[in-house]
Amino acid sequence: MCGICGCERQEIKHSDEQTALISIEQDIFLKNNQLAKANKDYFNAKDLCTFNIMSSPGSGKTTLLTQTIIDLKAQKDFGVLVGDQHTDEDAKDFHKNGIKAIQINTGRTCHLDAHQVSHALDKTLHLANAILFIENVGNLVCPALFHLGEHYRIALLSVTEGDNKPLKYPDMFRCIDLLLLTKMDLLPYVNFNMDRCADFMRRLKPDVKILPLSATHETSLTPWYEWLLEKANAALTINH
Amino acid sequence: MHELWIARRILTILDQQKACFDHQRLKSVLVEIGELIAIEPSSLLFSFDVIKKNSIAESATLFITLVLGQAWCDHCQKKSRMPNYFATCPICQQMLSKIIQGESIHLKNVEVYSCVEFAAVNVKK
Ligand SMILES: Nc1nc2c(ncn2[C@@H]2O[C@H](COP(=O)(O)OP(=O)(O)O)[C@@H](O)[C@H]2O)c(=O)[nH]1
Ligand SMILES: [Mg+2]
Ligand SMILES: [Zn+2]
Ligand SMILES: [Zn+2]
Repeated sequence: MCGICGCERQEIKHSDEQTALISIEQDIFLKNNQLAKANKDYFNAKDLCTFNIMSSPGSGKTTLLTQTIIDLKAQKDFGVLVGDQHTDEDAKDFHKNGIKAIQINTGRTCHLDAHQVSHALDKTLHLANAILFIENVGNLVCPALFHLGEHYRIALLSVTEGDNKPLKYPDMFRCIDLLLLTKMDLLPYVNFNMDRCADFMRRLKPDVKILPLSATHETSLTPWYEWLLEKANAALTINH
Repeated sequence: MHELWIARRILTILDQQKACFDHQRLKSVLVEIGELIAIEPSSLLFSFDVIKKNSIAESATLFITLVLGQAWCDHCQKKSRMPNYFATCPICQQMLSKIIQGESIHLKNVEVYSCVEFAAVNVKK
């Protein structure tokens, strides 16, 4: 066998100078986007309004989602897909509170992709006409690149992380429908300028909605609940 | 990191397309990355080199070219360079939002070792 081209023929001239260009022209994200579209069709068919929840590790995603579902479960059904690199700690937390949740372990990858979500959907949460939260892997870069089929994207930013995060991670903060500023109870103890943060956000996305809240202060959650239910109900009307 | 995911994706696409290059050994693979997208070329090169072992692309070197970010300024009705997401129009200083290019990643082409006769066939394509 020719060690250069791999062919078996003796009669032709083999040389590593001789090459040919073959055009491929394929979008690397094409497959993920197609799978995301299939997920979205599934969500629509089941009347699941789906929210992709993204933030750094520890910004308060699990805490807020748990509180939200406890407070709203009389009005709406909920389910959670939760991504983590390892362990099913978060899914256990949700289960402890009687919440339907499926853990997706992403191993070495730092984000959920549409393929992983579609397999989690196979396991089914037996959910229809409900709100589905997808708690993404804690990371401000990678999840932004991967559509999962969600209807809305939400980022959490806790006040302990600093007001310049949108400046440092524009890829994430420019692609969201809602920014939740979390852990507002800690605002007096940290140097976080709300106006500065809002200014960075508006430069990335002029019409972005920003809601400050604290999972530990019930009244601060009302605007978030209103936004959530409004979106969920609107999505259901559109589908019918 | 997601560069590893991308490197895996490149190998999968090459595997699916191997009929196009008739099982000839790959010399190089060219990927075009938009300047605005959060993909680190050096990290992608590293990931690719790690996972190409025992794959269809074992003999291949990955090359990356950058596609410059470009946006449309509504105010000036002109195309403008957009090196990052906070860039403003160099003429009117307004925020640029309508992105024309620089946000995608494409597997463009492969170069195969092609001994004389094969070369002739492939050039004709
Ligand atoms: N003070 C305060 N702590 C919070 C709040 N929300 C979450 N935490 C704490 O922040 C830590 C990380 O929260 P968690 O929900 O696990 O974050 P996740 O990694 O984004 O899911 C936990 O110790 C929570 O108790 C809040 O509103 N105020
Ligand atoms: Mg969590
Ligand atoms: Zn990554
Ligand atoms: Zn202009």
